[in-house]
Amino acid sequence: MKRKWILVTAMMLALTILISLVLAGCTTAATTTTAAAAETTEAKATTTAAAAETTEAKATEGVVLSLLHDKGGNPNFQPYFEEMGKKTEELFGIKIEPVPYPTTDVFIATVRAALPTTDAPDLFTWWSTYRMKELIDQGLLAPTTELWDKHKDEYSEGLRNAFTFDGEAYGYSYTQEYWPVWYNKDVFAQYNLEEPKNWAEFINVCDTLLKNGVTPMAQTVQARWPTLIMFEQFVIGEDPQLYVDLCEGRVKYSDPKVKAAFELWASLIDKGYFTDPGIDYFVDAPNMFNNGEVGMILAGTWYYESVFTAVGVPDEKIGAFILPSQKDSAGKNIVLEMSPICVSANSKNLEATLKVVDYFMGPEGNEIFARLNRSYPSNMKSATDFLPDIKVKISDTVKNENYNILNRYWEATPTPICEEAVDKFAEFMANPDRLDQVLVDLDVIADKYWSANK
Amino acid sequence: MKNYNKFASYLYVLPAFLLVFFLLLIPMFQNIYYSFFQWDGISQPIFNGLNNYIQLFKDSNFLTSFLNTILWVVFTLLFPVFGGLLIAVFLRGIKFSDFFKSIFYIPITISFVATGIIWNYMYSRQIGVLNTILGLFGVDKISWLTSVPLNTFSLLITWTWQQLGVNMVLFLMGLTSIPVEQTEAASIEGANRWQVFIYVTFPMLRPITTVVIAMATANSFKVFDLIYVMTRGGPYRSSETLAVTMFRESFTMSNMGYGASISVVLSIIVVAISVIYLRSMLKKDLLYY
Repeated sequence: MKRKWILVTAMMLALTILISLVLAGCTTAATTTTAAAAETTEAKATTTAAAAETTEAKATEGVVLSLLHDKGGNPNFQPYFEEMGKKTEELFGIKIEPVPYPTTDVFIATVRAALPTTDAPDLFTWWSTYRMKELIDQGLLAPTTELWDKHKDEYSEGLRNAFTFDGEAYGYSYTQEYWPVWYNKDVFAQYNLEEPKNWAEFINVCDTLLKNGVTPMAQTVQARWPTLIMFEQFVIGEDPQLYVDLCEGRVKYSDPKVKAAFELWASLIDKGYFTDPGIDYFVDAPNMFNNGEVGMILAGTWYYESVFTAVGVPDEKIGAFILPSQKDSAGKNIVLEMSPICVSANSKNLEATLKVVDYFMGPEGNEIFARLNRSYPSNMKSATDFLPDIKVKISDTVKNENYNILNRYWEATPTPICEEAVDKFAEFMANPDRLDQVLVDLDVIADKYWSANK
Repeated sequence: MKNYNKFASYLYVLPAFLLVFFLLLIPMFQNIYYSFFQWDGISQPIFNGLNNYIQLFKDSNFLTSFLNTILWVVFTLLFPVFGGLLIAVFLRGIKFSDFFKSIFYIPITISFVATGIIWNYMYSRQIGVLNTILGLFGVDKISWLTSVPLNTFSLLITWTWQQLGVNMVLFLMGLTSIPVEQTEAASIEGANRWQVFIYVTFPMLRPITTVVIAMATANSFKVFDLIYVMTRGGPYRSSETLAVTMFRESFTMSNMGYGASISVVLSIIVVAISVIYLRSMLKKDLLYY
């Protein structure tokens, strides 16, 4: 009887162990289609041909395209993507079936596993520059150069550059967002504060808020990636070219100017300018902002619709300005986040996919998602009358005052560096006294990548 | 006829065997195979020999993760297992015991993800019920999930909350299977309640205790979802266990080969501990009975 118990236990254990192994093992099964990866050079050649052959509308009618996206956590995105699909069905008879993924990690793993196979999604949301490059290097994306050429006058050169690798352009940008500082207008009014025009004025705002029991800025280590927000801002504020060089491996993290940016950040943490990094940036921070406990939050312009509106912060309470650089010599800078949708090289419906991408790159198509989400369309000729005043103000400031636009760190530096660096930034935020060790570690992470990839 | 029966037996086993073979064994061996490669999941794998395994022992994140995993195992044995036993013993024969059993059992009916989300709110620095209650006594707000090493203990409390019930039920099953005559005989011989528990009840619980400890150990080694939902192993990888590190290396960092090597090491540890433990229990059982 006792032996039976032990036998049952042993069997249960064996099953448990096997299940734990499957987590890693199952992904390997999906990636054995190396032949598909090798075929991608062929796909590149056929892509351009397919784009030219889209005159026969009937050939693509009734096609259902898959659109994988990682915005499942935001209840708005799925219906917005469905609206895009309704429009293409109405115009071309091509349906789009959006498939939401609630977490970014699972989404990335799924897309990466599916792309080399014949089950590759037709379309999928992704990130620009280095995040896109790793897929292009493996031949997993279909080029959209002809479409970018067709819509040449409708997009800025800088935007196209973020989608171009070795002369070929890939995917398209369905929306874009700037990264300003959001401030609580009521709190500013209460303490007679105005939007700061330079670093000294910004410090004065922070000091006044602090003196009156309001934490000037929000920051967090939760969710990992938001740790890059203040890092990129302070490095850009030191010198925007330094930031670009750092992201592209021409400068080390231990560079005195980079260290100076970290030291500034440490001094502000030390003075109490930031919240405890244990707060949640998407639940706690907007509530603290609404209650007047926090005066300012640095976040993308998507924060307005996706976070403030969702949490119930009234419009009249929300103001925005662009954070001045701490060094005058750095000039006026703002971070831009682009939102690409990519086309799989192994899409079974390449012709239909490129047809809808062509439409979505145009002024009318690019406007659909932007209008629904009240975000900036990437196409310069799309209407923007739906944008809230505060967003119009930000984009006008960027245009009229010739702001230097910089790519977000998440996309601007290679993914293997970024993924490890965000944890190092978190370590620094929780322990600013560990700066020297953090910089050494960051150099090791960056050197490891660049020595193998330069 | 005998041969026919034998053949039929194999046929009954075949569907389950095929499922296990294709969905467990093949991926498992593939996983071991890829642990010797450097591979990002999309390009051609490059043979890397034992380098992934050598790298493990140089990786400070792996060491942190390994120590956290050991902490999870020890804590699990101390609280969810021992606590489950205590509750089972105390609930036996008391009034409203069914009501209390249900109360303790409810958490296990909630998924790990839902549990993680619920406790995330409870631990929230700003709006969490824990900080609100502590605030009434003048205690400053605590970052339960982002202060190191408090975050790991916060996760372990959540784990205990969820696991206590299932261990309690298993121990209750064991207790009801003990013949009343033996405990009564011990009482008649003059043993007090504590002595009855230590010298009669507990030894007779050995089979179920073996099962509970073995399952709890294996579960604590492979815990993933709760940590992933609540801290993602952070901040700065401080609350990762081996299962989380394996996931992170494989799917976030796209180091499939390195992630595979972590899962192999994890499995070897679990198998080794289980075999040693089960063998020693088997020997004891042979001696005892």
